[in-house]
Amino acid sequence: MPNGASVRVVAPGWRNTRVDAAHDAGQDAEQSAQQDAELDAELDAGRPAPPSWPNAILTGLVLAHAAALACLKGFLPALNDGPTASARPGSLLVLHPPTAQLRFWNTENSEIPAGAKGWIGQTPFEADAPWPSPRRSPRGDGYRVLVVGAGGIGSGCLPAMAQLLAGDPDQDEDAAAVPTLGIVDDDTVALHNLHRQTLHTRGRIGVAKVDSAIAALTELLGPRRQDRVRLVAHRLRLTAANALALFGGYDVVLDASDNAPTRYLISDACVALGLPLVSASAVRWEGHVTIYHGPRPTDAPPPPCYRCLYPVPPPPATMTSCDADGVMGPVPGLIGALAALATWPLLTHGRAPLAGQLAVWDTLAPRVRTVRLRPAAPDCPACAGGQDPGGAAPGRLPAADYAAFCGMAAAAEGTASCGLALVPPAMRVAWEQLLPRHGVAPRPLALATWPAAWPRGGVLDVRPPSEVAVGTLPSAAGLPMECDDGVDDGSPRRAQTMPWTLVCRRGNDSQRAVVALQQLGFTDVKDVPGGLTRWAAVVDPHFPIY
Amino acid sequence: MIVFYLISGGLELLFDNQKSLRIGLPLGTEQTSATMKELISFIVDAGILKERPELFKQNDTVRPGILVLINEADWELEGELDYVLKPNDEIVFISTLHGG
Repeated sequence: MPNGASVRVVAPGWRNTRVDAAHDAGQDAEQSAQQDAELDAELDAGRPAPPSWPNAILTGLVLAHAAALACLKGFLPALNDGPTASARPGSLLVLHPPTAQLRFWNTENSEIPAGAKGWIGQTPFEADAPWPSPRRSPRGDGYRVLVVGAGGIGSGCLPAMAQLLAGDPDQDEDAAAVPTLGIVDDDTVALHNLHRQTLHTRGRIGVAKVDSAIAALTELLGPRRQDRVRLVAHRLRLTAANALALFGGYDVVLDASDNAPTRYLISDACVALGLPLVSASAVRWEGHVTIYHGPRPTDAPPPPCYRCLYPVPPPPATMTSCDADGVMGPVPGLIGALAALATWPLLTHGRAPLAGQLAVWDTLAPRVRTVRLRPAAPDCPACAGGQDPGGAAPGRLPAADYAAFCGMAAAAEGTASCGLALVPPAMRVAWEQLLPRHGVAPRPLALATWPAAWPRGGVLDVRPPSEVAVGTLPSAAGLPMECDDGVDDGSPRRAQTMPWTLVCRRGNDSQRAVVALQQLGFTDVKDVPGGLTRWAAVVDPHFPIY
Repeated sequence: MIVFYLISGGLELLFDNQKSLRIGLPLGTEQTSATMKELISFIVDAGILKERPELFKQNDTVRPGILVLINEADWELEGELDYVLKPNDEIVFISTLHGG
C-alpha cells in the first residue's frame, strides 16, 4: 500500500461524513482542502438525506472495523506494508456539518491544527437544537458510566467511552462536571486473549485487567485530559450480593461480560434500579448489540429486558464463550465500539434508538441485521412488562444465585471455570487425588516420571483432533468425543470394565463423554474437573493452554 | 413452497456449517399452509439438522437461547409457533451469544 493511502467512507444518511482511517502525515493542507471540496461536491450531488441513526451506526461500524482491521494488521506483519496502514495518532475523523455545534474530535488539541478539528451538526432528534453536553448530566455533575468486563468488548468500548466523556478541553464549558467511567473485572491480563483484548499489553500480563485498562486509558487521554474523566477500578466478581450497591452509583451500564449468569444478573440489577443497559456480546465471527430496558420510545411499547427475551436460560452445553468457541480478534472490539456509540444518545438525549431492536453483525454474511424485538413481557419476573423504575420488585433482584439459575455449578476456587454439572461429584476425580494413586506427586513433576502406560485403563483425551494437536498428556489416548466409532467395534470387551479417566480442555466435554461411554456399557469412567487447564495449573505449568 | 433459512450464532455447526439454506417445503395443503411449529419439526425430521437435535428443538419448539426471526422481526411479534409461513419468508435461527 503506497504512502498516503486512505480509507474513505461516505455515509449518505449522515450528511458530510468522512472517515480517513489512515491519513498521510505528509499530506498538505491544500490537498486536503481539495479533497474536501471533491467530497462536498460528491455529497451535494447525492440526495440530501436527513441524518438517521441506522446510518450513524453503520458509520460507526465502518470506522470501528477500519480501526479493528488496522489492529489486526499490527498483529500480522506480513500485511503491514507501510506506516500508513495503521490507525495512529494523527489519523483523522472529520464530520463536517452545515452548522457546527459540537466539537467532536477529541484528542490532544495541541497536536491537531485548528482547521482539522471536527464538528458534528444538528442532533438527529431536534432540528436546530444544540447537542447537550456529553459530560454534564442534568443533575449538574458528570455522567457516570459503568462497563462490566475489561476484556475484548471492553477493549472496544472503554477507549470510545473515555474519549467521549473527556470532551475537548479547549471548547468545553463543563470542566467542573467530571464524568465517571467505572470498570468491573476480577480477572488478570493473560497472553492467550491479547489478540482481542487490545487494551492490555504483554508487559502487563498478570496485572489486574481493571488496572491495566486504566493505565491504557490514562495514556490514551494524555496529560491534558486524563483528569477530565474519573476512572474507577472495581476489581471484583459481580455477584447478586454486590451488584445493586455497585450499580446504584451509575447512570448507565454497559454489559461487556463473558458469561450467561452475569448477563442475567446485570440485566436484573439494571431493571431493579431503573438503569438502561447497553448490552454487547460476541463469539466467533458475530456480535450482538442492543439496549435492554431503555427509555421507552414515544410511539412504541416498553422495550424488553434480557429476561423478557430469554426467559429460560439456555442449556449450559449451548452457552458460548470467546475462549471456548473462539473469536476473531476485531469482532469484540467492533461490537464494543458500537455499544459505546449507542450509549451516546442515551446520555445526551435520554433516548435509545437501539432499544427494542437488536443489531446483529455477521462478518461472514456480511451485514448488520437490525431486528425488531418483542415488547417487555407483562409476566417477566424482573421488569413486569417494563415497569419503570424498578420493575417487579424495585431495589431487589429476582434471583439470589445466578449460576444455579443458569444450571451451572459455582466454579471451584482456583479451577478454570467449568460451568457444566452433568456428572455427579463422586464420578469425578481431581488431579491431586489421581496422581498419588499412581505414585506421582502433583508438583513438581518431571514428565519423565509420568507412567508410560497407566496400570489399568488409562487417560482418554476427548478433545477434537485439532486441539489434541496443540498438546496432550504423554500417555493419553485420543478418543474424540464427537467420534464414537471404534469403541463398539475394535475394542476388546474388557475395555468396558477397565477404569478410564477422561480429560478435555476444561472439564465440560469430558462429562458428556462420561455419560456417552456409560451408555456404551463402560462401568468405571471418571473425568477430571478443570481438565487440562487444571493440569497446567497444578502439575505442568508449561503445558500449552489456550 | 420455498422458504429461506438463515442460521447463525454457532447454530450452523449443527447444520453441517451451512449458514443459509433455501429449500422447498412439502408441508401444508392447498387449503392450509405450514406453521412455524411444523417447520421446526420438519427441519429435525427431514435430516436438515445434522446432529444433536436436542440443541435445536425441545418440546416442539426451539430450545431456550435461540432467537427466531421472521422477516427481520422477533417471532413473538408474529405469533411464534402458530405463524403461518408464506412463500419466500426469511426465517432466521440465531443462537444467543454470551462471550465478550
